[in-house]
Amino acid sequence: MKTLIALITIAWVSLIGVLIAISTIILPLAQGIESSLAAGLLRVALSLALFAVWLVWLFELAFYASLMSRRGRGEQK
Amino acid sequence: MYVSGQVFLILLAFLVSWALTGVITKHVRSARLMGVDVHKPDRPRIPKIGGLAFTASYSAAMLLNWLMGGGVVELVLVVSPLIAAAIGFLEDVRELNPVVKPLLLLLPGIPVLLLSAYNPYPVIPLVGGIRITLLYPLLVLAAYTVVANAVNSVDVLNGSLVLSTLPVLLLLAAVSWLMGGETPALASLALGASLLGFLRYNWYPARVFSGNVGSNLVAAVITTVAITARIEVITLVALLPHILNEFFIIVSMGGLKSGKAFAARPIRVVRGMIVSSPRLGDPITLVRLITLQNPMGEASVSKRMALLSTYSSILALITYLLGGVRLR
Repeated sequence: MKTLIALITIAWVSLIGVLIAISTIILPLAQGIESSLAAGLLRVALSLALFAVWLVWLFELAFYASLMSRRGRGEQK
Repeated sequence: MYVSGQVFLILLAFLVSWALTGVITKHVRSARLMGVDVHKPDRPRIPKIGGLAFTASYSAAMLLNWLMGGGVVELVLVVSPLIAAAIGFLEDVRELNPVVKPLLLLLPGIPVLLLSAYNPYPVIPLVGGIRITLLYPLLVLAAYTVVANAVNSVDVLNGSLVLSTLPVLLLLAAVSWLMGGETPALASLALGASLLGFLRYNWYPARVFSGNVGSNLVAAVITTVAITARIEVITLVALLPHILNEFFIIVSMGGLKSGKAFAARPIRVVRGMIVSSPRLGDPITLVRLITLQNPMGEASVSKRMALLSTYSSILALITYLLGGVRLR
């Protein structure tokens, strides 16, 4: 249960981190581009890429949490 | 609508759901509509379409709300969940292809798009308002199928669907109301009341299952509330346990596949207790992670799912409060 609470907390903190990164890095990055279409596409593409990284990060967390718990019980095969 | 009218609709939803679930529990005996409770030693067969009861009670309450002078938002809060429930019922009576099912679940989003019941300028906490006029309609369609699969993936134990979604519905009702979305708040509470009426018969040892008809309705109401009240990211945070569970299953099973096609199970039942599977290759699920350290009774696991959902709903509330912060 503690593992899952920790997992949800890390997922939430990292989501907040993604939002901060979008706000402070990705959106200002596109401000220098003259074409509004290109700037818009860049913002959306980078934001979605960051979100995809967040999803992959969640699975990795769960997988290693599961592995560590089994090692603790001596059931690692 | 006056507060007394809203309280009447919420009470009506509760009573109708309670009465209809009792009728389904006692009278449905068709083999096609029965499911096996695999977590009990005697593996009893019980009706698996209990979700029809709270689909009817929720729809009746929200239809009355629409008839009393409702507009587009009131209408989509009836139509989209009903489409999702109909797809769920279809799956309850005949097995759907695991690739076709997510495609069918795009359909509940169509009324939202056709009636323009969405705003393509979502307000993201810490980021502010963003304009995604081309992408947003696609996200609306995808949201229904993602949330339906996520909610369906936690409907695995007696009472788990109700206990894991009630905290989310209460959070959505509170935040919608704070943001001026009276109708989405009413929809959340009407569904919450309906689920409480259903829980009377679905709590351990269950006498009825909700079925896909029920889980799809719950998911579609949550999604429609998120879209119409413009609280998409807050809903995502509240649903973290559900979304994590779905994601674990998809990745550990190597894609969208029917669970019935796999011999490997994430848990086992030993002397009435749920035990996590010790095999590395078996699917990772929320229930498996909850029972990793100690075997637990079915009711205890459902209560822990409720705790996780309450925790993520509190994080969602904090996210809503962070919405006032602008970093740009």
